[in-house]
Amino acid sequence: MAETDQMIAEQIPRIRRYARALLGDPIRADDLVQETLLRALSRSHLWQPGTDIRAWMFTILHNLHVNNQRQRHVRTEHQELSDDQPEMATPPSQEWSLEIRDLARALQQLPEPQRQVVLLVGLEGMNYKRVAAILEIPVGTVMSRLHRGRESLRRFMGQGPAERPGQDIQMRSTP
Amino acid sequence: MTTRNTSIDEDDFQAFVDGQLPPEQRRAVMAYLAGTPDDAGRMTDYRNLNEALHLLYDEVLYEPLPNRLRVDRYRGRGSWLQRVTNWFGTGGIGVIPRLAGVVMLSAVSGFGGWSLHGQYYGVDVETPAMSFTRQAAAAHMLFAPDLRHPVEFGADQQDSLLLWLSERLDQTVHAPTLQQLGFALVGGRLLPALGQPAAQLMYENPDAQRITLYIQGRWNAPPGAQDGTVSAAPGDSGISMVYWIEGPLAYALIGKLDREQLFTTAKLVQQQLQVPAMPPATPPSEQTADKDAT
Repeated sequence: MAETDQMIAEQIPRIRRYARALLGDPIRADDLVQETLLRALSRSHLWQPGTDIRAWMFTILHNLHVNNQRQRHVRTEHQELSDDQPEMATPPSQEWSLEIRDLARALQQLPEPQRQVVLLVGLEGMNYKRVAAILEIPVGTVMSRLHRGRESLRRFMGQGPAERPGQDIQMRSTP
Repeated sequence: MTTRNTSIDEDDFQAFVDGQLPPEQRRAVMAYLAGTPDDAGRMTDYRNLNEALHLLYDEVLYEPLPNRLRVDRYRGRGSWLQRVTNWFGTGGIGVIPRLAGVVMLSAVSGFGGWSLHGQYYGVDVETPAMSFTRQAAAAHMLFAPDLRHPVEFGADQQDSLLLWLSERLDQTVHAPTLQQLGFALVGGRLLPALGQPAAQLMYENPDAQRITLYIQGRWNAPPGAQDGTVSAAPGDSGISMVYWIEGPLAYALIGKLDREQLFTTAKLVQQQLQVPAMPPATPPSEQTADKDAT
């Protein structure tokens, strides 16, 4: 296998982890990973050796994802609006009373722009500039989405099971 | 309770959580948090959130890749390692002939192999041995090529490393010396393996070739399986794995070695790991390895 191919192959597990967390659905996530892989392989000559191949592949993934969403007529515009709404922090949670698995559900209810940032920073450990580059947004937007996303999840995690009204939690849900 | 201090804003809090704050600002945030339990609690929650995300999704890293996510499917033949993860993970029709292949090989080579064939033939369930080899292969694949952080603890901290791994595996973990074969210890790391801890030790030779020794608590072996049993599946890409059970632990040795080197190395590892109190009845594999070694 060519060296670049090998490097691409090595990124697949992490790309896959991210896609799974982003989309929630393992099949759809693997579909997106496969598209990303094919695109990366067909354009591997465009990757600049010495630059971060992971960031390059995440960028590809995001571009493909955006295209897919357009095709599926997903309302991303509305989600963008929520970025400018003020969000006040609530008092700190008493405890993390939530089963960790419920976090997956809460995560899927976050507006996607926030979910992307929360995952790229919190799960992938990327620095803010890199996240901004991958998502093609200003660093300031990364920061506000990060804050909002984390705060929503924190509020969700802080609620006791009794307070949690089933599927429709008092988070800003995607339209 | 948005921010309340002229010099510290919300961005600083986020960056504090993510360790992306320069030391000076970091100290300022810490000083501020010392007097504001609400915000301090919030920071703890954010940290816990990051950790929870890893708990939730890190297992994806160790899942076997389906065919469609493997580069070699699109670019000719891939490495044996990638295929091994596939043998054991994808289930269904593809598994049967390949698994049979492993067993055949064991039989031909004269190893006292697992009777996977009889017990699991055609059953789409991952056995402990499959799971073990899959995880060992995945860990090798993930870390052996890593130039920056191949290990958590370097060989210079060997004592701390082994103490730590022994504590976590609840068994004494040794790092065998493979110097006579040209491999020096790089270091090691702790790994999650389906709810239990596993250890990976990495070695490197002067040609920067790396091999890993993967160690995990043993499973309840099927009847007939003996301590010291060896199974192997050399691949045509040159990367091979040997695994065996020795006392309370299961070991897998993985590397780009030919069959002879692999068994020579495994034998050297085994010699050093064997507990004197329980000398194994020389399994057939040992004889083979002996021959290979000479």
